Amino acid sequence: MKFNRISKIALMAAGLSFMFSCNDDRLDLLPILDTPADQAINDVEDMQRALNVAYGSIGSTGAMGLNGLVYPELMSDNAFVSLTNDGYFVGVNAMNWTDASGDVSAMWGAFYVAVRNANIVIYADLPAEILNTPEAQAVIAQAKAIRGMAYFYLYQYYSPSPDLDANSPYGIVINNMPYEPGNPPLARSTAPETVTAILSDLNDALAYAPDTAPNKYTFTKTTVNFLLAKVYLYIKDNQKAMQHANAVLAQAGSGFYNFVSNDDYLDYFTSADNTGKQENRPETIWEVPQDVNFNFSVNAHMGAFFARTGQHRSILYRPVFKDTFAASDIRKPLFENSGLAGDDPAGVFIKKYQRTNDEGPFTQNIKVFRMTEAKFLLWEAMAKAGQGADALAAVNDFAVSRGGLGNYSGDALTAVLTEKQKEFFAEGTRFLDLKSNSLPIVKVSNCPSNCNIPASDKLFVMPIPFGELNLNPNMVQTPGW
Amino acid sequence: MRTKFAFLSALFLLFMGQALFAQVTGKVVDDFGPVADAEVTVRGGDESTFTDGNGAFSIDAKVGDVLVITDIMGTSKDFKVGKANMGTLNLSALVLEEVKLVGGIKVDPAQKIGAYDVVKKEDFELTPVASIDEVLNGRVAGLTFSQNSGDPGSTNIITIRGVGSFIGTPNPLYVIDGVVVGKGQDTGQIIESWNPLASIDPNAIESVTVLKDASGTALYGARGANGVIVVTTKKGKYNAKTRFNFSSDMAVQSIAYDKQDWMNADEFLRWGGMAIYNKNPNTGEVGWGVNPNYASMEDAIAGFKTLKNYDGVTDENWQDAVQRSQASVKTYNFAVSGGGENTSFRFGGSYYQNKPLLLESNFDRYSVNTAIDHKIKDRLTLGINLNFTDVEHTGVSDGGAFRNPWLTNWYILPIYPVYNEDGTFNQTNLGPGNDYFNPVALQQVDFAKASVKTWVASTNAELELWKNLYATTLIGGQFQSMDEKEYWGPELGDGRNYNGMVDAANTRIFDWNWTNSLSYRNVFAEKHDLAVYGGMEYQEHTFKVLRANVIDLSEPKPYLNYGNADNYNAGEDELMWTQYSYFGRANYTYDGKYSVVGQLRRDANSTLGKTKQGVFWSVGGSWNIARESFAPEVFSTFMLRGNYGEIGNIPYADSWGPQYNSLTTFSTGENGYGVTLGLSRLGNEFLKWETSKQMNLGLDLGFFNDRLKASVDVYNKRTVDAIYPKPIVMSNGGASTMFNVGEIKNEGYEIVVTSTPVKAGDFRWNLDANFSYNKNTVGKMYDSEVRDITASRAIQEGHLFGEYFMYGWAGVNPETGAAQWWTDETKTETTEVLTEAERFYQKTSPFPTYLGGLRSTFTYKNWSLSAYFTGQFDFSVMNRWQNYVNGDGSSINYNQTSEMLYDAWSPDNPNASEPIQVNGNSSSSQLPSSRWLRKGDHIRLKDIKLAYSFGDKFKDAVGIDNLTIYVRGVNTWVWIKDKKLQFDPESNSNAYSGWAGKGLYDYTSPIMKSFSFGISIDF
Repeated sequence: MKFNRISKIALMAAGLSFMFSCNDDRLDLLPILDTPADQAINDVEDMQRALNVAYGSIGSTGAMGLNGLVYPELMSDNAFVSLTNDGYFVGVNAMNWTDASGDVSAMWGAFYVAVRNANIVIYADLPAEILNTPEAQAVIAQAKAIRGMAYFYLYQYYSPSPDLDANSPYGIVINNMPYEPGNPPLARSTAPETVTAILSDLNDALAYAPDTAPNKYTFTKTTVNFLLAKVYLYIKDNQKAMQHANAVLAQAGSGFYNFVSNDDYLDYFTSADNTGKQENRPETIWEVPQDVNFNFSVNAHMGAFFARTGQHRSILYRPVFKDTFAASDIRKPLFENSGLAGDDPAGVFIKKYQRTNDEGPFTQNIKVFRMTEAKFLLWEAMAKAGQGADALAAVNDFAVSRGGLGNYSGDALTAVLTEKQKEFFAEGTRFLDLKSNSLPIVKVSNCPSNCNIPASDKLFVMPIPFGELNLNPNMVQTPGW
Repeated sequence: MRTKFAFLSALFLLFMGQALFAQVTGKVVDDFGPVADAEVTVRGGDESTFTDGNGAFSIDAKVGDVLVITDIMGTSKDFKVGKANMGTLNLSALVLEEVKLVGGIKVDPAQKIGAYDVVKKEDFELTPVASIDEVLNGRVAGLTFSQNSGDPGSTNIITIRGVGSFIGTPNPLYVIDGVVVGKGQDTGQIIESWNPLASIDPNAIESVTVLKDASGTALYGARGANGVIVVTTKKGKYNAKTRFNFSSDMAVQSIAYDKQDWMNADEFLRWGGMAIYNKNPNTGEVGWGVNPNYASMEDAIAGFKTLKNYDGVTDENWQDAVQRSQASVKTYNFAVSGGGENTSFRFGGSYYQNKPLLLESNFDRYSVNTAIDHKIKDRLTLGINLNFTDVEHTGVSDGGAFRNPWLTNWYILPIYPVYNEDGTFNQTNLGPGNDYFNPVALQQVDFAKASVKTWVASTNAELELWKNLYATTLIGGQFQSMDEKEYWGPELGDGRNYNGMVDAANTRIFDWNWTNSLSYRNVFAEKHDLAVYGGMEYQEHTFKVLRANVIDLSEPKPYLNYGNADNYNAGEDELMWTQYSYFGRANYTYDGKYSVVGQLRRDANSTLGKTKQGVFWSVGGSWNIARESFAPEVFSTFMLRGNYGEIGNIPYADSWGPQYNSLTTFSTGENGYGVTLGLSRLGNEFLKWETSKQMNLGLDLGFFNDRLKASVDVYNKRTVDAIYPKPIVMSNGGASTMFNVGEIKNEGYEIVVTSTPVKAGDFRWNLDANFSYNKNTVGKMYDSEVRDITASRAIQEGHLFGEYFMYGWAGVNPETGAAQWWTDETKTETTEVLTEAERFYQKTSPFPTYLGGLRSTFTYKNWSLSAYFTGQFDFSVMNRWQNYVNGDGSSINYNQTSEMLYDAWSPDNPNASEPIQVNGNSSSSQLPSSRWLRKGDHIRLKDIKLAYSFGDKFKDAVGIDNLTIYVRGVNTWVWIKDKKLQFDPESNSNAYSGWAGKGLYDYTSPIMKSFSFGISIDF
């Protein structure tokens, strides 16, 4: 009968479908582009790829690619945000942040992302025969340098200056362990413990870091020596600071490193020929790579804020600062003649981050460390170590070599820091130089608030971000916040 | 003849003393009076007849049969035969129909146990809105609706009985003809937002059933916990003559509510002058007139004009400049339906053309839909539904993009003109940083477009295997293909930075599901009505995207081919998730009085950790008291209902991206250093189902033969193991990972009243109302101290869900004009330094506590007038844009709303609402605080319609069966409680996903109101 046949077919179909439905394999799905964490890193090449991520994070816009360079300019007597702005960095400029401010958490978070990504390399779970190869050791050394550097910058921003309180209980969080999302939140280390961790990482890195590199994006022994010089100077170990600064300076003329000549000086910053005259120059110790495919683009590249065109252009320098340069100074042309309407007195743009060049805007590598700074690290250490006269003479010679007057006298440290401000404006050193030497922030004009900040003020120490306190019962806020 | 036979039959019955076959009579009416030519059939039988000119019919049927009555418009309704003379049968009255659910399961309103609402096709037809979810607004008790953008096709936020999950969309699940199509979650890759539901033609909808509690949603298992919207499309009828319908609606639109009064040129210049007047640039001192450079305010204004390079004449309204002079919607709709003895069909097509407010934007939808049913005797029925739509949409770039004209029109000051004197676009005198961002020019060259093609198809079959034993199968799928493209010309705006850019994406989303079930349905001894179901369901959802991006174009043309080959970017991704379910259900009704139902299901979902399955259940019962002999005569309906269930939920499943949450993964990419291998996902292998424990108690009452009906439902919903993106401390690398760590409590009640207060002669007045209360609180969390703040709202144990958490604004110091905040929630002390203030809970959230809907319909002869009001009460909304730009002078580059001039502090206006305006103001007074919080309470005239039906007046002349014309207004009027509320309280921000955009107003397209004229012809 007709219906019986249909019934049979239907029953068979239903039965088949129930059988089909028992196949639970269809529930075990994997993403096509991703690898489970425990299978991800298998050899040195994978470690190198993970290291590239760590480099990307230490050079990110939250860390040294933008905030690490902009904050010290605005939190000092160097630069200000024009009244004609579109909202970027106004909080940093006014220094009116709270622990809930995004400015505060952005930097904290970015440096700890670098720590996390370095930890992924450092604690790669691979057999000893792979980890013990020189190639693997070099990769791990660079990861440790990145981690040590991240700790060092966190320490500089979020802990009291060792010049005021070297034994402060308010160091930073030292997270030296394999990365797991479920790791319990850690407490702050003390300042001495923090310093120990920084030095441990950087000294480990020094042992295995490569001598040279194919470009200036990655760290070498020289980068590590440079960082060590900075760290020792910050913690007042002037002898060690000199030792490591000299190790950097000894590389000058090696071909890979050298000092920029006066002839090349303006081109080094302003040439439209990125690859020919600006990037991977011997003067540069470390720069953040930017090219037409990988760049911070219109909303986050230094050029968006410092150059004189575009929507976000807003960071200006005070005319009184420009006036400290002699007419003959080869650095004076790095200042424009104008700024933006509305500021009184009017500020001026600077040219260290040109926005247009042969590859288009925002493709210029961002210089972070350069050889010349090692000279200043050395001289600052000398000035503090009783070799003030030698330091003063060296600074005057340097100033003259730049076309300046070279007429510093008196306190050598003051001379070193004044000349350093002129050499390194817009390069992210000023606030940290003031802080490490317990000097006040004095903004003589163009200042919305917090214009005279004594060295003891809480504003020299950024608060621990609210989000961190909120989630971490072991976390304590720095007193004053 | 038949009448005689009926008489004989009645006699026969009398002698037999038992109801067998009878000639059943009745009179069919609707809101317009008697219904002629309506088809009357007996369900499951061959009998069929038509009503006469007075709506009267008579047909062979027996007590217990179901009569299906269908008018010439296709409106169909079932009536159970209770006695031989059924009296007046109203096709229009809001009576719940039997609802077909998954797996052949049907819900009979006479055995109602749960809480559900039915919205009928009249509400969807010819509505000048782009997507079906918008129609539900206010029509369902306990359902709140708000729009992420007025741009047609944008996503919406709909909550039923509050928010039940921390993450994912809070929207209910949509099922169209048995195809599980998702929750209307944004699938746009390039355009601002795309709501997949905008591909469904509202004109093709027969009815929408909104399931609100466990007894209904348990059938849909996972993803049903937020409620389920069951959409049934229109179908043809067996044994019906072929009928045609053509209808059309022409609407003009404008912004529904916008009280933001942006300054004109004169006001802006006066405001700017005031701001520079009040700051001493040398000392930083702030105060009225402290700027030593200006002797008077007039001098300062003159100085500001010079500073701003003002040409002395321009007074441009940029808001008007980016808009069309008239936005419009046109709808054309055609349908033909009919059927023979064994086959019925319906074909429909529609064209919806929207010219939205924004210049150059558009939204065109073409759709066709087909439904064919076939039966072989009464043992096998087969059905197929096919719906295809094509949407061509030109929208705007993502909300926060500077190029978004809804943003740029506020950025660019009224003192700069759109056009130069020579008629060319002004590109270089637009204010600092705005060069080449003239939004009018940008709209002409640049675009963000999408072409979306959607197929929704399902086939179903039901076979009676043996007597009362049925096998049902349904296989259906939705395939959506989206082609999106964004183009930036090399001469303008962002394109100048890249010498032009083309970004293209092709997204293909395929959802399919297959449900098989066996059911046994029988009535024993006339009193025992039993139905048992068992079945399985498999769902599979895949998402594939291809994307390419090029810059540096050799020609200013919007095609990838013109990009510079040295720096193209291309990539793809595929995501997939699956789910298996086994389900069983039994319901039993005794004597039409007592009903019980139980359901059990096991669901396994691929996105969870090691344990993928969960077992869920519900039980319920109802007591139809009205059928008891002791029930007082006064009640025509008297029913008590109750149910409890535990339903599994996967809150994120409908958002494409978080499909592999159990895994921590790495992915390969590239950065400036070369090839990278980095963390791409933080997983939790212990992630399991979140469970929604839902209880519902209901009472239905009817009086005067149900001329007055009321239903009350009380519910309590507790979501446990709620999946929450638990943040990881930044010092451990930050980000978050999904954990089952939270609890959400939703409690409330709903009241629905339907009534016919007046029924006199040809005049009738229907009045329907709904009212509901809902409260959402965050229950036990993994850490009671932790508050997770998103957009000034927080999630913390013991607080309202999404409660506002911000600084407390304490007004303006009348002495100095300084901004003041409360130092803490005790509101005892104020401070003028924001850093000395604490943020605190504001005891209000963006979710309305009370909702209401009121529909009044008058009909007189061929006229009908209906008005539909909705209301949302006791919630707060915030203006995110003003809280950015209205900085009391912190920036003098953005246009301001006029109160910053007229209601700002000055010595002459010491009691002003706004602080002293100071150039370079660093008080941070614009930061999110209760200064920007507004009460959202409002009542809206959602829909008002006046219609006239000519009936068959033209039938003899031109063969038209019916002709109806109407005028209609949508969103035409709104009452706002808070006089300081300047934006539409039903707006959401697109800048956040899930619930977090709720109640925030920013630079998304405004919500529209419309006036329309329409016509409907049957022939």
